[in-house]
Amino acid sequence: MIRKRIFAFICAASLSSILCFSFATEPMMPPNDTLRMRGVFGHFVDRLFPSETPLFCGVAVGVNALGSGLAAFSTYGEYGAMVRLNLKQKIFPVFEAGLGVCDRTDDATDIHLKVSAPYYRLGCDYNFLKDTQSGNRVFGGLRLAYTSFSYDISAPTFVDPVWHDPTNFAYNDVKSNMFWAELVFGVEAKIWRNFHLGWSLRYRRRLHQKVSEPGQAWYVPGFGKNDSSTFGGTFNIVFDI
Amino acid sequence: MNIRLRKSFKPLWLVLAMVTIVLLGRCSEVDCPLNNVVAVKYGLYNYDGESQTLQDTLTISAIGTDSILLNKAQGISSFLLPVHYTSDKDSLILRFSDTEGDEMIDTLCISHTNEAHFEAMDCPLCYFHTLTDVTCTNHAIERVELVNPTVNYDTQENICIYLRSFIE
Repeated sequence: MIRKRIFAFICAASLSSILCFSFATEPMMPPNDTLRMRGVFGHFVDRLFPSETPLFCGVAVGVNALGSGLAAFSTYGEYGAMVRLNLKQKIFPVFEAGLGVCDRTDDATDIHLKVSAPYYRLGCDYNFLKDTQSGNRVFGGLRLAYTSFSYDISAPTFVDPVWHDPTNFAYNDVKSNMFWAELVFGVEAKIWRNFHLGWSLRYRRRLHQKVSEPGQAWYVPGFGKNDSSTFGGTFNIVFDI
Repeated sequence: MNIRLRKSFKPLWLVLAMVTIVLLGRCSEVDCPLNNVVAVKYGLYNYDGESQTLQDTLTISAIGTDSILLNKAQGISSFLLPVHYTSDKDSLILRFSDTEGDEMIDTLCISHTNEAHFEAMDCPLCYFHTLTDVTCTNHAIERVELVNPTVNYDTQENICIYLRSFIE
């Protein structure tokens, strides 16, 4: 139920962004009004990247096909979508949101974990390619991400090896949250018209984590497996609006 | 221009695809701690507070189980003992035997809390403990001291046992 709601929210947010920007792009960009509409931020970007390219070059929406595939066909993954602004073909503010899911029973230990919660990432990419008109990109960037979630964890009854008493291990609705940063490096290629495909590699670093009684969560929505691994990746399908 | 760029992208795509495959493969690694023993560490000391290596034999059993936790140990200055997962008080029977076969028996009681600990999906569950009190009888043992109440994967000394002077 929660998953459906979050999906509906992501779809609605993406659709509204598409409609909003597709209406806004043309009227907002006439040359005479450009100076007035861009304001202080526009002048700041202009001074940083002096070129003939207009400040606002469009909006793109996309999905993380790798995470969605893992979520659909394995025991954990993330359904993710993103909305991205294109400023001067160089700077790309990005908002990513999605639903991280995990429903897994370990083969060896029979420990069962269930998580389903949204995550949010906000950040910016920079396009390193000099040829900004090609539609291809080699980019680096930064994300700040947050998720607040609860999880259920349980295990079969196990026996104290010395006193032989059976013990139960079951925790429901364990609250946790995590705030982390991601360094992003990726490529994106224009495949056909407004359709792009790309990879991104991400170095993740935890900034804050709430650890509850049974121990830290094994899976964190948006972050992935919460172990010593600090790298992740996405495969993005992106449409320029 | 586009065609040229796409050609130059090919090696990058390949490298990135390979890196991603490696990263995905890494997901199957087991991250269990190498030292996964949770036990109370006891240290043996003489009356003067110096570490004592036991020449007599020491056998330890626990009330409530027929398991022998330490069997005729000799030449030791410290030892590890498990903690009850569900009870909050363990009673241990310490049997000191000298070479002539004479025995002295003491009972050691430790009070503790039990906290279930989950490390990872593929690691066995365990219990961490916090020691709250320790008492003993005083036949072979002079006194006991709780020095570190936390019982987890770190095998630091938790309880000091000071032996009477006639225990070798």
